[in-house]
Amino acid sequence: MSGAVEGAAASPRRGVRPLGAALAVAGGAAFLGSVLADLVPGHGTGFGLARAAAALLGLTAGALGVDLASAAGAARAREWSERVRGVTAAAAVRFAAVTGELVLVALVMRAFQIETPAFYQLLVPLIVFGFVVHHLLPARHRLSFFVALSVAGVVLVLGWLNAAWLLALVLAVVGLAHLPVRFNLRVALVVAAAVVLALLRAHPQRAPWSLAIWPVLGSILMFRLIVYLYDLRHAQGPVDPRFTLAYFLMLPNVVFPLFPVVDYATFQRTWYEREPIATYQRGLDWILRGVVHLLLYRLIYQYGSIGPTEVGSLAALLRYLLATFGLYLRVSGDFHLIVGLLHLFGFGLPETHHRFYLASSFTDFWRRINIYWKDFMMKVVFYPVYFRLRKRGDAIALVVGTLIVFAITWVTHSYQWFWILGRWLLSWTDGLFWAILALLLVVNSLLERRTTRRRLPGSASATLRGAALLAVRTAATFSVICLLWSLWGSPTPGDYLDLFRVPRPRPAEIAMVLGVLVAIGAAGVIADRRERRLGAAGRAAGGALGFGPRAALTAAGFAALWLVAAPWALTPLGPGAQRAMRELRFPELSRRDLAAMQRGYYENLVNVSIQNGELWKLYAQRPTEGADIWSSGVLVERNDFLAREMRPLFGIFQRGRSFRTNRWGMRDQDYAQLPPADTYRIALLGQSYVAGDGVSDGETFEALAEDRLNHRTGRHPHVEILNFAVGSYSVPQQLALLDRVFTFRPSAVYLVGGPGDPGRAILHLVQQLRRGVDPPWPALKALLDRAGVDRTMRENAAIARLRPYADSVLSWVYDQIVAECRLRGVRPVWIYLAIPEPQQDTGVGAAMAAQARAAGFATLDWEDVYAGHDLKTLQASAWDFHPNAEGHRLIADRFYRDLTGDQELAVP
Amino acid sequence: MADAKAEAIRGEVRRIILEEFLPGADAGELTDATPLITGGILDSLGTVRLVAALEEQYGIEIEAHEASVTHFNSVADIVKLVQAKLASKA
Repeated sequence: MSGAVEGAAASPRRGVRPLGAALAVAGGAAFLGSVLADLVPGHGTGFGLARAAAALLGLTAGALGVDLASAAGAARAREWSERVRGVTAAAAVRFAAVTGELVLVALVMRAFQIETPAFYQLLVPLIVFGFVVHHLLPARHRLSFFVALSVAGVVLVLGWLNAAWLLALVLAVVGLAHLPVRFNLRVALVVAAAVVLALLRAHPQRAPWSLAIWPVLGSILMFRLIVYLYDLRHAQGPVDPRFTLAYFLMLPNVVFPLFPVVDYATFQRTWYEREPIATYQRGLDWILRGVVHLLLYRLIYQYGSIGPTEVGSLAALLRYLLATFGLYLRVSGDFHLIVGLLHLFGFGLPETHHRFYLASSFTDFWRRINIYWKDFMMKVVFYPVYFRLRKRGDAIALVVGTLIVFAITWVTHSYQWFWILGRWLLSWTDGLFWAILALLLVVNSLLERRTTRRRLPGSASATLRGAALLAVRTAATFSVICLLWSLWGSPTPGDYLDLFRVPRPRPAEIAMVLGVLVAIGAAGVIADRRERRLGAAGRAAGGALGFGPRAALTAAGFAALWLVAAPWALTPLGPGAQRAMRELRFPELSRRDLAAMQRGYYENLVNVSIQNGELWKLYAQRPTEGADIWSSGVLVERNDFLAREMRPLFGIFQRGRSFRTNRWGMRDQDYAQLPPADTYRIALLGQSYVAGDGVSDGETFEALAEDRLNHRTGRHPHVEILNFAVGSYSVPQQLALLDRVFTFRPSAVYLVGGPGDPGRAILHLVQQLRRGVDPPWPALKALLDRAGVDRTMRENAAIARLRPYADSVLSWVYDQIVAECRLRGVRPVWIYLAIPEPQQDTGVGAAMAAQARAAGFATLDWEDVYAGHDLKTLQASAWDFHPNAEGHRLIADRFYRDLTGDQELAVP
Repeated sequence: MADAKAEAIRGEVRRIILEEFLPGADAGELTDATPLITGGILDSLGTVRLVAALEEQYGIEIEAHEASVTHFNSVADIVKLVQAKLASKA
């Protein structure tokens, strides 16, 4: 009898083990085959999605095969079979439902181009695939699979070489934390490694790895390593290396340099802490919330935000303040998305933000906004300081602990940007913002400390009086934080104060302010009552609804977003709605930022990174050195109104392009000062687009057009096009340049204008005035006086005053240029040249051309010069909107056609 | 005996929490598993006040790294911590 039982048990074991061995070999072969196929030359350099999936499946099959081939193989096989048999129809339906929701997530991410193409094209499909495999795997393999999936994501996004560097660096630094030496020595070694990496970050050209991995490496290590060391110091059990790898390599990090500071202990503790499907569903709910935040952010960014120079009334000030605070939705959106995605792999992490716009006190605000950062600071700074000092008194410990937390928060914000961008971003307003917030929090905490009895969250609005008080407190907190937030984004405290120099408000404007405050207060009361209904358990679980209604609501939300994004959905609403949806779907720079970028306004502002996500995305891609030809030494400062000019006989090879100037300081070939006989000479005036920022010598449109003009068949005079363009030259500078231009005796002056001209003109006037240089023309000086602008004013305030006069400035300068040309018998021609950027306003050229024609220019409109081409393919780079060589070729074609066409402008 | 001791600690912890952090709330709302930190009942200031109360009540010393979700997210967690501290003291 006993022998029969043993035989029955041994029989499946004998069958399972060979099957396991075969599965292990096949899986290993599939894994190696997929990886090697990707590495073999001729199979492409990227780790394609299909190969990544095949490699992961191979790895999974291999691991399962090893399981079955082991001594415990039969037990494992029984375990799996029992698990499969134990799956109920209801569980299968629930899993199918969350998988369906996840497919909708992928469609919405792609439809709205959420964040980067690397995210919605590569990582999201990988996550959908990984989610299904991960859930179906036996529990003990899930964490290893998550690590493998994360590594595959890194390779997919960065390529093999960069991924290898990134993984090696992360493993090396984290490895130092596990060396078999005293803990303090390990910390010292990690700090030494961080110093070496920081030195390399400051001089990235000295590092053997690509610039692309710095932001990811920085975001992986800069804070998480601190948390990890802290938890290692206090860990009571052995370290599970799978958790360590999962923590540092966690999947979406590779495409989100701005990543929440996930707590290591929480990361471990919350892994499958709750029922899996409920955890997945909560993740999907948060992903939807994140997408909504990101779309609201895009709406605010495109339609709500205005520049500080546009603040000329209380209504505009209100809009500026609300939009500046509203732009933070970008961070909360990303963080919800990231943590939601982690839920899909069992990490039931807590909420990262919780109704921070509805905080009812400063301590409440700190508790609700960027909760992970607050927890990080509490854990590694506040509690250690507080516990050390508490014997000296509770109040002292509280005050010192809070002030140290905020001082460190201020410094680490800059530290964060250093790792991501390669430069420190410390400013007075940044420091002031954190200092004021710290003081408000200290006072608030001391007041709360005096209140011996605390309240249950959600109970503040239980009575009518309580509700009214809560509404007032919520509106007041919102107002103060709104005001503070704009201080954070201002270049200097003076610029911030200038915002408030608005005319006496109209009653309607006051009503508008009160309306906003009442709405915020009411929303605070409603949210508080909802929290009361939820209770502590409901809040921790993320809501009161059961799985079915939550899944249905979330799926409906994603489906609605996906449908709304369909091109046909908004057709009945007309072109305005279609354009708005296009801007919502395809994130671009707003017109305001585009105009500001064109005039170089953001070059010296630190808040590009702090508050402006879209510009940050562009600037983060810029190399830290050699990004700007105009900073290469080509420009020479002048003391007069012209302010700068190009250095003669300058030459540099930068970013793979040559940039040389001739003996006259023109980005052009050499010319005699006087035109040779039988020569038609054109003086071309403009800014960087004309000077050829973004292309090599000889690739500028004027050089190409000149070459073609001189290779025409038939008898024509020789044509010379002298390129007088200089980066960022404004129209008043072009007028100031004319005296020099005329010494070259041109037959015609072609002034190339662009959409940034009015802004650039007033910026130059203001900048010169502030450095003590008046415009050399009494009429313009009088205009400045009329606008009430003087040299003591700050730049933004002066620009705001002068803005209404921009058209007058432009018209006056056009008149002068035409008059000067006519005096010398020179033909004045004005050209409108668009830039290759989709957000460029159409129709701007026509309005400017009308002004130029009124002054007496002959005009050419090149607004449609890039028609039929994908504008992105004509840009010098993702962060540089100057036309590239192909763009210049298109412009040259148009220039040639216009110069040889049968019209009044044709050259002889 | 051990159970009685744990029960006494549990009662005391519940009393402190109900008095200090849930005034007016139904005692039945506070179970052993009610999430205190993740449920928004205890914030950082509340946690240090609870730490001080427990230290005073039981003559134990709680360290900074122990003021965490692991030890303070529920009455059950707190009871476990206090018991461990008392045991190591003895």
